[in-house]
Amino acid sequence: MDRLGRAQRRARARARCRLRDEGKQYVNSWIDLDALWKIAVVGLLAGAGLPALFAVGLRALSRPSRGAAVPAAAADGSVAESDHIYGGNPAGMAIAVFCFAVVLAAIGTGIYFIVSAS
Amino acid sequence: MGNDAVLVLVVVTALAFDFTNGFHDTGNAMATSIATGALPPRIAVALSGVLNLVGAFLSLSVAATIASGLVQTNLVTLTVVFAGLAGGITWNLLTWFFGIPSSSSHALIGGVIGSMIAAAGGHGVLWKGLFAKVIIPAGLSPVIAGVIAAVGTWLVYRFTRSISAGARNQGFRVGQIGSACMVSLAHGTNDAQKTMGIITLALIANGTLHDNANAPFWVILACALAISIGTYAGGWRVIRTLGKGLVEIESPQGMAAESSSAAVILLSSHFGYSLSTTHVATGSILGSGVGKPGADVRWHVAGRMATAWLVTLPSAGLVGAGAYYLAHGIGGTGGVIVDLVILIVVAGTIYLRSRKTSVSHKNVNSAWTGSVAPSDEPEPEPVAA
Repeated sequence: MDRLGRAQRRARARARCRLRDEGKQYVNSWIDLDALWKIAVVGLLAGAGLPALFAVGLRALSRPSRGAAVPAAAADGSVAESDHIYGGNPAGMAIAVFCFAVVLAAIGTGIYFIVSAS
Repeated sequence: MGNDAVLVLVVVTALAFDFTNGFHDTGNAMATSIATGALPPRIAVALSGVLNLVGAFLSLSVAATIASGLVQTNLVTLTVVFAGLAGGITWNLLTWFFGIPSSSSHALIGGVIGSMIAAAGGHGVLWKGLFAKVIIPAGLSPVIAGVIAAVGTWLVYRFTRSISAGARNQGFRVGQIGSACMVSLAHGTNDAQKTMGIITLALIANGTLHDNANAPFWVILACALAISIGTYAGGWRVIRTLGKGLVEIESPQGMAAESSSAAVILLSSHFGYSLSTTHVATGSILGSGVGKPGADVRWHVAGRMATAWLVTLPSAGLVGAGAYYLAHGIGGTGGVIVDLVILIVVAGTIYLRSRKTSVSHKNVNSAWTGSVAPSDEPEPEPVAA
């Protein structure tokens, strides 16, 4: 009785598996899921990650050097903000250069994609 | 068997379509850079035009791809191609007039499918291909691009909280120009090829080229020039809607939006997934509005666009079918010439109407007041000091 039940369950599981594969194939013939998830994942890394990395680089670049005077607070308590991008901190500068280099390399790879597609 | 006179008309009309494709889509790459002032309008369209030209030459694997998998290519005649182009051009001009960034590829595909149905009936169209390669990607691609742009925008603002707004905008303008250039390049490789494919298809249908032939060099050159001149002409109405109408955009958002567009377009062509650059670009710009805390997204403008996207295929198809019936009814070269004359009259009328509410590089960035035509056109407002 128990053995029969197990066999039945196995057969049912196999059928479910087959059904799922067929279903996947069917969906794939309408929606190219294989391409789609790659576009979504790599797209997220490149399309959102690169601007974020650029932002990190920009923040590092604008970091003030250690000896720089802290901007004095005005009478109303607000701090006069500097519009200069380059803050003068060597470590920040190095991080920024690294970030921008990665972004540029990614752009180069993008162009390589276009050219190699021919 | 071939009809060289009709072939010449088809090639000229295809190049005209390529031109409308260029100026309809300038905004996909450059709207955000123009809106944030990262680039002066004239410079932006010139840069985009040059990059489209370069892009058109970069990737030369041209085949009659736009029609294969969508229609029975052995049923395609020169008149079918011509009528399809007429449908595509008409819809591109109409949507441009209303400042709606609709997909040029959809307009072309709709036109060709409409004329195909008129010529051979429903069995001339590969319906499954149409759904799998055109309609479903059109629904998914703006969402994917929008999510990526939203995540990018959120991260960018999060990471640059400590920088002053002035320094941030200045820095991101550089990044924005770089990413917009990538979109222009990708556009040239993608969209110029579509017209190359159409002309190649016409040459094959006419018997001038054998089946499976590659595009001759003059076709590549002509298409590259047509799309880049079109891009330089600048579809200011569409640029205005994308840059000012959807979201009030700042340069960090612009960079996030263009990076998302460039990544999605390039990855899609790499993985062989067909989509419209316009849908991706619009999705990205919307996403950049969603991702910035406190930003205003004009959803009713987005809704109007989505409606236009839904009706693009059938509308261009109707025009294509009408053009085919007319040309076929009259018959021969004469029928195509009558079609062409009507097309020129329609295009001329739309152009003349557009002059009344002109949008150009001068007023493209005027404040958005609910319509594509800046409100200070009929009654000039005093310039704010």
